[in-house]
Amino acid sequence: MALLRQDQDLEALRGALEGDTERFAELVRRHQRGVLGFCASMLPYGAGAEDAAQEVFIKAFKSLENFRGESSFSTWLYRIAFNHCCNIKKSTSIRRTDSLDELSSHAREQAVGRLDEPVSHARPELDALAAAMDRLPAGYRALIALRLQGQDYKAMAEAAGLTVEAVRARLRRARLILRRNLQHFFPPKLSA
Amino acid sequence: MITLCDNLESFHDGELPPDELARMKEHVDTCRYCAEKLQALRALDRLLTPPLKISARDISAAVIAALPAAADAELSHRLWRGWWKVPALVLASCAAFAICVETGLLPSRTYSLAAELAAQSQASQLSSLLFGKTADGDEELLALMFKGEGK
Repeated sequence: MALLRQDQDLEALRGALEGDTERFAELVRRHQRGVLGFCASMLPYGAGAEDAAQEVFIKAFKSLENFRGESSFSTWLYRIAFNHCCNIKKSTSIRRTDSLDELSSHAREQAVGRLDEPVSHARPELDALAAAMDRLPAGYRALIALRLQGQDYKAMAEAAGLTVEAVRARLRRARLILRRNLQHFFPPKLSA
Repeated sequence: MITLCDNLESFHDGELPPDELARMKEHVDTCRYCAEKLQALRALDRLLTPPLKISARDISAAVIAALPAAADAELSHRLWRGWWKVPALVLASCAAFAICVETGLLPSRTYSLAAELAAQSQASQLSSLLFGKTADGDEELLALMFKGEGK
């Protein structure tokens, strides 16, 4: 199944390299959910995840020639998404947006939506989860985000530029930190 | 030494080879520590799985619409990316030329003028030796020139 998907990706990629944007749109449709989910898990409170995902695909299109096929197309996309989200986090930590006017239109909509919906009262675990994810180092957070997208250790290692053993160890450590930060949401005997 | 308990996360993530998987399944049924830890891992997964509402909107149209602008921006970025190389190359060439002139690898304008004057004065000296008035020392020089050092 995965091999068939990879073959379909390569075929669409060949078309996209020849300038066929419809073939690239096909690739976007195939991978958008994963990339969007990854960006939502990587960015604070998932704000601007859709914009970030779009930018990831645009960056991917611009550097399609650099895709050497050493890893799967989705792994390559996740690597771009990881670097892009790290850059966003870096730039937002340097220049914090004090006003909604400074956000992009979609991020503003999302932020306003978040203010409107009574999430913090109805689902406190979502806020706690977002805060706990925010406290994770970017490398650990990326592994959790990749795992949530169903990536196996090998693909995660390729996307994060690590060995499989390092992925295993860091994923364990990331889960430990998350469990510790979210211990109030676990039954007492599971929170340790 | 790696025990079966150390493989619990790999088991949870479906990363164990089939033979170890069967052993691990048996182990989890009997080890209370692993059973509880596995429950905790599953609870964390449940908590993480719907992390934030992910919009189901198709973004492919927006991406394709943004591609021409992105291609233009990339092109102008590529054009301007090396703009500093032009003045840097000019400066480097000037510096190289100045160094060559200073070290004498290239003749400077003043140097060639001085050389020309020296040649001219030598020629007039020789001509005065041959055809005009000569000093005593000059005759000796002429003799040296025609007979060589063997005199």
